Formats: sequence, C-alpha cells, structure tokens
Amino acid sequence: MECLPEERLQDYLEGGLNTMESSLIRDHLLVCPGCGARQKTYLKINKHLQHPPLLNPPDSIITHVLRTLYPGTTFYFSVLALIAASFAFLVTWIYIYFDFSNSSLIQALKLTSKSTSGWIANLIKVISSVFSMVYASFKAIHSFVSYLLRIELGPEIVRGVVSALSMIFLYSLIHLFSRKFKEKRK
Amino acid sequence: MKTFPVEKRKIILDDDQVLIKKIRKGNKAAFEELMRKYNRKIFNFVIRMVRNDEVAVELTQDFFIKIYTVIDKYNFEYKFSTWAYRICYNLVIDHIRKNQIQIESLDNDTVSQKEIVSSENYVKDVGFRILSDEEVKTHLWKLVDGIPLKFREVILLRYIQELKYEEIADISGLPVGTVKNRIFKAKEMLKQEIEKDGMLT
Repeated sequence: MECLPEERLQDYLEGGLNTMESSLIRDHLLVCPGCGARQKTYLKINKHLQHPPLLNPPDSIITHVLRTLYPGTTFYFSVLALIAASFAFLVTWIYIYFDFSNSSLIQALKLTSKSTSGWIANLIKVISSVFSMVYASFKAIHSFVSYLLRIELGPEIVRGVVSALSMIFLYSLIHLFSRKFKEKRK
Repeated sequence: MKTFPVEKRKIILDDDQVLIKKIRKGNKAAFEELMRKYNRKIFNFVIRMVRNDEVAVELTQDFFIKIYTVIDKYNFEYKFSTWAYRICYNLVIDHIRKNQIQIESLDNDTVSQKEIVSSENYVKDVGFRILSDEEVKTHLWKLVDGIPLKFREVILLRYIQELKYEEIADISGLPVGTVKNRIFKAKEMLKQEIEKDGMLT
C-alpha cells in the first residue's frame, strides 16, 4: 500500500472510513514510519484543538444589550421608587413630629375636608386615608417590635432609629436615581 | 368514513427553549441568562473571525440584539444553538464582506509570513525547553488565527462552537464534503507550520 494522502489519513483519524478501509490503513501505519509520524502529529493537533483557550468577554456587552433592549424599565422604576421613598420619608417625619401615639394630623385633615368642597375635599380625603393606613402600619410595627424586645419603645428611640433609616434609604435612592439619570442623558 | 382528530406533536423543550418561552413573555432575567450562557463562545468565535477587539464587542452586542428582535421567528422544532450560530455567522460574514479590503490584506498572507504568529519567533521566545500542553495549545490557536478565513471559520465552528460537520454545513451553507475538506486542509496547514519548529515532537 502506498503512503496515505493527508485527507485520507485525517478521514481515518476522524472515523470517517468503513471497516475494510480502516483495517488497511491501520496495517499500513504499523509498517510505515512516515505515515505513523504524520498520524501522531494529527492526533496531537486534534487533541490541542479541543477545548480552546477562550477569552473572557467584557461585561459591558451584556450591560449594553440590556440597556438597549430594556431602556425604560430601570429608569422609570427608580423614578417611582424615589417618589415612593420621598412620600414614606415625609409621612415618617410627620408621624414623628406629631408623636406616634397621636393621630391629631388625621383628625385635622378630616376636619379640613369637611369644611371644603369639590376636588380639594376629595384630595384631602385621599391623603387622610393614606395617612391613616400608614399610621396604622407604624403602630402595628411599633407594637410588634416593642413586644419582641419586651420593652416599651419611647418616642426618642423611635425617632432616632426612624430618622437614621430614613436618611440612609433616601440617600441611597437619590444616589441611584442620579446615576440612572446620568446614564439616560448619555 | 370515520375521521380521527390529528394529534398535536408534543415537543419536549430543552433549557434554551424554556428560556425562549420566557423571553417571549418579556422576561428580562431569562434573556440575561441566555446571553450569559452564549456570550463567551460567541465572543470568542467573533474575535477570532474579525481579529479586532472593538469590532468583536460591537458584533457580539449586535448579535444579541438581533436574536432578541427575531426571537419570535424561532422554530421550536430546531435546536436553538444552531439557529443562533447561523445568525452569528451571517452577521460576521456580512461585516467581513463590507470590510473586504482589510480582511483580504490579512488573509493574503500565509501563516508563516505573519510575525505575530510565527513559529520561529515563538521558539526564540520560549527557548528550547519542553513546552507544556497549555503552551502548545495557546501557540496552536495563535496559528489558527493566522490561517485564511475560509479555513479558519470552519475550524472555529468545529472547535469553539463544538458543532458537527452537518451543523457547520447548515450554518455556513456549504456542502458537508466541502466543510470536511476545509477542516482537513486547515489542519494540514497547521501541521506544516508546527513541523517547522518541531513543536509537537
């Protein structure tokens, strides 16, 4: 048998030949040092081509694609979050200012809505309802935390904790919002 | 004559197809997961095809955007990866055709003429010590970067995307026999190059 052409040898190594042909080539490779050496080289090439060294793509690819395809989601979400946080912040401070055991603000809002008419009265009613809900939530949380800690949390402690948390929360949201706004402007 | 209702063929969805269902419903996290899964292979395929970092980043981004925009056209009877690689391949080939002059000038060189992948230079750099498997692999892949595009593309599809001959033929639009011949020819080129420095001996 003559020495193997390159393609035939590779076909044999890839298992692309039938049993008869493979058998003939196997016999030839045992007696032909030249073809044997070429076989070894191809085997090594095949081995080193498997599992190539891959580069890590930059993270910016995914970030850019997501920003292009979902542009509004994060921006408007952060705007809504900022509005909600500002409202929570305002209510918290009103709550602290009026003392958390006193609902005089709600009473005052209700009286005002009675003395006015039209859409202003309705608006005040809505505000007072929201405040009532927030008040009720604060009272529930306050009672629950007091029960858990087995102490009566006084106004000073509550004010301190709520103030600190509010500031941190608000600062984080403003930071997030400004970053998103800058990205949007770019 | 009695007629029987035609039974709908049930397709068992693989992981990619489950993600696609979610993406079609607007699930952003699912699309991000799909991108993270394919990002590395696609980027490596593209960068080795165009041999330019910035262009590779842009084309990879374009690929994912394209996938997203045509995701509704994907047919669940076919493998997602083959469909996606075909889109990627066409995108890269289109880019190369548009920038024909630069690519041709690179591909007109033979492997050994390129200083960057010269085996002789490599041997000079590392001296005569025995190379580790990793070093040989790295060097061999540098040589792959230097072979002409029509041979390089099939090697990349075969070994980076880990595709079968039939799949490569499907993606590139070439007959299976041509794909096979090009891969063999590419390996022959690599063999000739590495025999010069006795790197694999």
